Amino acid sequence: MKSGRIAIVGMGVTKQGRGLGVTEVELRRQALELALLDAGLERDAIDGYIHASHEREDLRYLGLSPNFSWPVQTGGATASATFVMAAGAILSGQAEMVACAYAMAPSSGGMPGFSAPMSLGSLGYGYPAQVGMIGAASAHALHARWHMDHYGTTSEHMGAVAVQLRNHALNRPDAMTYGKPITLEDHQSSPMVVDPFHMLDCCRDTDGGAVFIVTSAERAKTMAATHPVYILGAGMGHNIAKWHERDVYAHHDNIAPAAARAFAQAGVSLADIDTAQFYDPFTISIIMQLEHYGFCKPGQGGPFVADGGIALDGAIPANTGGGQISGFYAAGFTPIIEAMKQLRGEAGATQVKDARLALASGHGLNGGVQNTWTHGTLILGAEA
Amino acid sequence: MSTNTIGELKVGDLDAPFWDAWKADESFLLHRCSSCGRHDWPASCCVKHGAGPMEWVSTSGEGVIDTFTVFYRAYIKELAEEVPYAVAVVRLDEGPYFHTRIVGIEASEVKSGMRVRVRKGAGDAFPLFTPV
Repeated sequence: MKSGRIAIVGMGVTKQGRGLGVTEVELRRQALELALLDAGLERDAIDGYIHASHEREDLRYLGLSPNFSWPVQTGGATASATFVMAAGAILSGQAEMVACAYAMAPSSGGMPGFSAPMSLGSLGYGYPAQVGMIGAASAHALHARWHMDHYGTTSEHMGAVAVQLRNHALNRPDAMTYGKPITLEDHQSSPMVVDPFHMLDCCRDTDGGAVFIVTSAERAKTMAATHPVYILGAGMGHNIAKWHERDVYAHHDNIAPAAARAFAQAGVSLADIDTAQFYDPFTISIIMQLEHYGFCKPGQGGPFVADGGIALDGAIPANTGGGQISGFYAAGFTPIIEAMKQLRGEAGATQVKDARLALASGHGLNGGVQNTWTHGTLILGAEA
Repeated sequence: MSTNTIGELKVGDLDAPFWDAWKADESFLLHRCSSCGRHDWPASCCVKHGAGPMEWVSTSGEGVIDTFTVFYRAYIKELAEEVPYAVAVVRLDEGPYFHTRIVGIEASEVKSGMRVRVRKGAGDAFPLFTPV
């Protein structure tokens, strides 16, 4: 992808919260309306639809008539993937205006036609579930334990991440923990879930929807009412390569190929990035991504955060909306939503001054026994 | 005891030889490439030589804990009596990772780098590991 040829011209984010009592398809409808309003478009302008996960009823219920509807599911890297697919559709002439749509409503009891309650199948990852390895926290705990044993990272370092994210979220009315401070002591005394994670190391599932409208930069120029953000670079990496190399746990993700491609396309370097929005299901995720992107040295992610490295006045202000841990969990869309807000100057109390370039990451779809997944890197810019 | 598995073990067809051997006489098999000697688990194609040369071979069932986690919370009611319990990723001597439960010691005693081997003679439906 050539830098700056693709623009995000609309963003719609519904209320994010627990137990909203709204179905997923209705959340996507609400998000679509907001995105259309944001972009200054009518429904019939949408000629491509990319859906995070799959839902047969979307097009009918949302009243859309696109040329295609593509499902995509790679867990928390799905968000990054939808933008790559949207860019591909636009650049290959399949569509002009693509909607990338997400909603999850875990509290609403799943989707029509799927009667089983959330089963072990959705919480476990193949054979390891047989010995009680269940849930995403345990999969990430394996990385966290490795990091602690090899680098001396401590629970307090992870606590520093939790407190920093909460300090960001505290002042953000769009965060679920707005106005609710925590201390390192709160983190340390929160219940152990799976070693080494305390409850305050973990994000919580959130109900909510988000829709983005993607078009060419050229088309964006003709849209007077929009505030576009440009996709300057994108890259993907999969740590199955590390499984084959038998080096999974040192690598939270396989970031190197994703970052290399994204930065090369954007023609920028790490030092140019004004703010990073990392996919953060658990506190260790931020520590390890800081290291693997190169914002700090290997093993130094914990001390880096504890020393204020991701604060607003730190070396790289990160997860400024509280991330998924203290903001809201919209899978991989949370980092992109916050990157958009930063680049549009809409991040309120945690606005990074003069933010022009943002990095947003995604990560997900546990492959099962191998504990591997996709990583996505997007570099977004306020200018093409 | 054979109660350390939850629900019915669903065996992947490709891995059936592993489970058949374990069930028969607690042999611990791995999938080995006869071209380069690389071992894998579960059933795999050799990353260099494909599926052709793969064969199931008996192995030591020993290795070292690469990393682990301890569950303090029971995600399903069947595990309520078992917490806290340790799930480890064992780096088998032949190379592959193997996710299993560490038994025979307290969960709090489990450490990375600990040498472990598969437990035999306890009727485990799933191969569990214990310190050497």
